[in-house]
Amino acid sequence: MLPSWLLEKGLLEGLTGAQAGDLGDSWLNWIIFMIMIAVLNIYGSKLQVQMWMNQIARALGQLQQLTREASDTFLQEASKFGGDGERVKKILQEAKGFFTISPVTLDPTGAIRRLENILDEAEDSLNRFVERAAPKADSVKRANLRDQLEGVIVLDLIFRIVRHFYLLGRKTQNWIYIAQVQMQLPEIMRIARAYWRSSTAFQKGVPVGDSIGPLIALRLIGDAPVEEVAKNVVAAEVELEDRRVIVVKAKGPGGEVGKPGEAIRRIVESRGGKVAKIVMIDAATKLEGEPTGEVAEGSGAAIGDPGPEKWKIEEVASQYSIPVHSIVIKQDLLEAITPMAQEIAEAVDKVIERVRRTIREGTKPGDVVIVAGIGNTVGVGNTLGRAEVMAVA
Amino acid sequence: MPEEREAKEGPTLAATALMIVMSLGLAAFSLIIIYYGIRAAGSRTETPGMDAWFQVLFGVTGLMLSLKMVYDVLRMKISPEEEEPTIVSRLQCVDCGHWKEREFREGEYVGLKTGEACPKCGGSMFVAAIYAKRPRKQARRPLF
Repeated sequence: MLPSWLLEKGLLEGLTGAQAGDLGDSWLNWIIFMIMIAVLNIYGSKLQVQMWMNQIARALGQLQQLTREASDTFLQEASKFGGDGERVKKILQEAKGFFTISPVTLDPTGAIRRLENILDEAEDSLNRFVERAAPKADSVKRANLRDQLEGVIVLDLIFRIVRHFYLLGRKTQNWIYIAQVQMQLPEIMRIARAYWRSSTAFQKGVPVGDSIGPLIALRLIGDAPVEEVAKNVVAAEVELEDRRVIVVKAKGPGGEVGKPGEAIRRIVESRGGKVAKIVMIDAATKLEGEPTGEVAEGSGAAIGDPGPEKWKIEEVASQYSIPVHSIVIKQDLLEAITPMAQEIAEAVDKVIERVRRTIREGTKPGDVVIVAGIGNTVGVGNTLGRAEVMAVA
Repeated sequence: MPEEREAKEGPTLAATALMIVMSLGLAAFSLIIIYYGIRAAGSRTETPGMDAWFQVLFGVTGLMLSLKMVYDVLRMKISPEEEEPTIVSRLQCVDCGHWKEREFREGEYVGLKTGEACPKCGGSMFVAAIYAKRPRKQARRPLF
């Protein structure tokens, strides 16, 4: 209990002017109470906004640190391949803030082709940045460095956007700017951490969660010879369930996604549309509560590109009335761009079993079926323990 | 590197100290209020009024609030650190299919022939998969 000297001297009573049990009757208490109410009424929202701003300021510090660390990892890696430290730093500074402008969709005619043109140019530009930063890097390392650079650009963009709303909110004292950022902070930080962690995966050339499609394609290809059928896409013909299966994947083991839509279109057209089925395998974003590595299937083209590749697949499939079936492996954003989790890798056999069943269903022996493993092929080669790519189309 | 980052993200020492001092202050104040309330409520000389019970109520609320503040500070400080996964390569024998796991070596990729001999049949081994291995946590019963 309370020290006896405190009670004997009546310090507490002296402080409040109250007797035991009548704290509520003291005029001083009432004044304090009224002041508190007034202060909270007038300044309550300001205090709340100030607390939110402090949280955003702390998050901004972390975002800046994450961007700096990802940039340093890129600088170190590029410097190993002939890039001079200061020069690489300058190139990185130029690359930060890189943007792409969406095509006009007011006139939708040809929007996909225009978008593809813009995306091609964006990829070429990033490749040129990497070539300048690491002139001695081979094609595999260049692809990994480009993916690393993309991660740095995304982190920098996140930092700039959060800083924009923070400063705008502080300048205008408009709590809407502050509130909308504060409420999204957990998700923003989760995305930022995912990109920050991905830089290590691309630096080491380790498969990420999104590489599950190419990994399954590789398992289906086995040691069959592969051929480059479109830009950074390889294909091999194997026999599976008495069907002629053409397996398509991005050209590894560098961090490429290639143009699988273009590859599928060329394969279908080269066979005059005589393809019985297209089976697509890709990573898909899981909902909270769903287990990582869960396999699901459905119809339609499973491909997470901005549009052009998916459009090509849909176009060619509808032109020749080819059914498109998809099998997806569930994972969250963090798992998709960081080193592949064991649960995802363990889904390979389950998916192959489903692919076999899908190939049998609705097709006849001898039919041609296309199986496409979609995703970033970082750390995944083109054949199992065999020679390299044979020819360039 | 990730562990270093996680460690830096907790509240600063000054902020933690301030929070603890504030919560201790609130706890002390709440105890005093409770003491007065109980003393008044138990008084034999006069009938205890509603004020006495309100004091006890305010005191208990303050005490709970201070405990919550301490709990929040401790939770921020002692949050379980995410264990960094080990990147492993799963090597498989071309001939007998025997497989083994070992730590990933930079430059390896899935499909690469490693040049290592199979411990079972002496055949050549290739990298069949590369993945991040985390220590398996005891599975918790899902809520839904």
